[in-house]
Amino acid sequence: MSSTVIELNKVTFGYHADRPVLQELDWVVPAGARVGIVGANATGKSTLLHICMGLRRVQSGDVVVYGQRRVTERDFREVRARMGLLFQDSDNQLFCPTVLDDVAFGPLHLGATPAAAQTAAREALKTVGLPGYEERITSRLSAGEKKCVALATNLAMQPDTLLLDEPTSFLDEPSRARLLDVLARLSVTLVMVSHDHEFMKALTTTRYCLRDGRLVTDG
Amino acid sequence: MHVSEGIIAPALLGGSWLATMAGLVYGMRRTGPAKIPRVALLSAAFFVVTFVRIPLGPAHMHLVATGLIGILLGWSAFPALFVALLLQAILFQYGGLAVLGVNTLIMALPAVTVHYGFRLGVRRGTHARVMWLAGLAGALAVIGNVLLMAGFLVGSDPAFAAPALGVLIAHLPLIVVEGVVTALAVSFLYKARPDLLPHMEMVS
Amino acid sequence: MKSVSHDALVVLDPRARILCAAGCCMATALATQPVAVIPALCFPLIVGVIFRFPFRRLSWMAVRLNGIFILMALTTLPFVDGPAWRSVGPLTITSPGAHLMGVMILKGNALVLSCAVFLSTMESASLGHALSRLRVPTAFVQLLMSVIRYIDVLLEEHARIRLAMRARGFCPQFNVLTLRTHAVAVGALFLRSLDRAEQVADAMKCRGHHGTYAATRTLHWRTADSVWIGTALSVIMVMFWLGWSV
Repeated sequence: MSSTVIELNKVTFGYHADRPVLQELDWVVPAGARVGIVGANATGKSTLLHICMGLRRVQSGDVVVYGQRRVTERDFREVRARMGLLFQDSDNQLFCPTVLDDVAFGPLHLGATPAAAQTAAREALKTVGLPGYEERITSRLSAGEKKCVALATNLAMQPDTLLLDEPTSFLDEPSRARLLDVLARLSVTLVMVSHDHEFMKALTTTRYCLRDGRLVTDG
Repeated sequence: MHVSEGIIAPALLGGSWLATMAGLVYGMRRTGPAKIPRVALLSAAFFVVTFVRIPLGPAHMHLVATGLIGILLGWSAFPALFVALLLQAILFQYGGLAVLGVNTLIMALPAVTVHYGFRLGVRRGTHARVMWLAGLAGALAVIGNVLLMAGFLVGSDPAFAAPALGVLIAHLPLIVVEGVVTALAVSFLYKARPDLLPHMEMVS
Repeated sequence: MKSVSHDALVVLDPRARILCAAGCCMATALATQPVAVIPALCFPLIVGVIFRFPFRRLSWMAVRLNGIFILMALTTLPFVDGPAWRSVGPLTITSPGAHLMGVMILKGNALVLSCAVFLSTMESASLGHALSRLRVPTAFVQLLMSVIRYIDVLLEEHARIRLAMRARGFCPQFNVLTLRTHAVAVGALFLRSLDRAEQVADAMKCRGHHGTYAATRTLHWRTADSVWIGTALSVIMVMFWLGWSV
């Protein structure tokens, strides 16, 4: 049971009833896998990740995460405590004015004391290579720093699975290299959606292409 | 559109703070935790929009967008406008802390009022109807803002009748501008995402 | 928003600064005698001089505020009846009129000054932390913090929208086309804000938020903070004493 992280069975989802984005999609992600997904714009790659986190509800089919079928908001709370999602736009992920508030938000809301949450936040910032950034003002960070802080907000919750949505968009070359370095050292199940083939080759072992609402194995 | 510090009588300042607190508590209760990001983002958008200058002959005027905020937020307009005005008072010394209650009431009461008017009228809305109602809401909200402002001035001291009249006249062009801008902005939202407007779920 | 450079008042606990500002504002707002406002005007001035507050930053605000007061005085004074106090040219200023204007100008400047000196150089985030430690409900603090966070993001977004319009030859004038363009910019800004709000709500859910907010910070109250609060309280007492005795 615990050997698969995500299992989707005949999942159908669409923003408009007549135009489904995902159509009877089947997908299995085993624990410890490093999976990459490519696909043209607006084929539903981000939507797929959002479905795994319970941010979108499927119209039909089963979503099984960590060995249990997940339907309601309550079902997904447990998922979100163990699975992290790195948003494409870091500005949406970082909703607090200072870095420490943001990184400590997750642990705090999982029930940690303020002191423990701050310790976890400092640890996470160290892991992404931004120690001493605690009191920095989020809106004055560079795009690369924002991305790393956003990753730290996930790491502070000690996830065993990370979903990454276009992690390298808006990043310059040094930031991209740093992010690659941090991600390569993490021992988590990794699912990544990206247009950046090199980045994906460096981090993933299994690759899919999302086409016409289904996943096909890709190289 | 702010009343400056020092003008309003102490009794009105106190009373307005009490009324604003009541509006805030009720507005926060109606908001619910899941809607906080929506209120926050619209409050920030209001803050940004009030910087927009529209040239008017040799001078210029600022948009206020209370109608738009009211249409989109209803009672949540109270916390949204309060926070934006608080930050404007602290960061730019527009308005002030003592007069914050008065300024919140001036902005928020018409906003909440036009929200219910708009919702009532928009039930079986076509695009044209939505636009007209939004324009009306935008203009009426500014009229409400200005009348309240004049009322607070005269209520503080009857001698302020002349400046109050001046405020009314000075804001006449803004009524038209806000009406037009609100109508077109709501029409833009209606075309892009009708589900974001109140009571539009059954229309689209 | 502007970045805060030399905030010498940072030695004070943000809670002490908020309480000082709120106390001074409340006392000033309640004053009815011009002489009672003078301590409230002097206190922030002295604090500002001690902590090297950048008073130059307030010059535009002072001009604007007192410009409004002059307009108010010109339109109000001729209509206040009462015994004559002074006459300036053809205009006779009555003593109730002078009293009304004196209170207004002193109070207005004192209120804006204490708010500016105590709060305007404070990092906005500290304002949120302090309010949450002053037992303001956490949902409201989270709202305030999110607004502080996203004003910058939306300012940039608005600038991008305006730039895109200018790149296509838009030049603001007072005509229907300008209004139309402004309206589209406002509509686009609100649409993006609403879109963003949905994603921010998703981000909060992803980080274990479902219903209640937790306060993050602990602050350290020092003796100096109590001293300042004490000083502010004595200033307020002097104001009340002056207000009642004159």
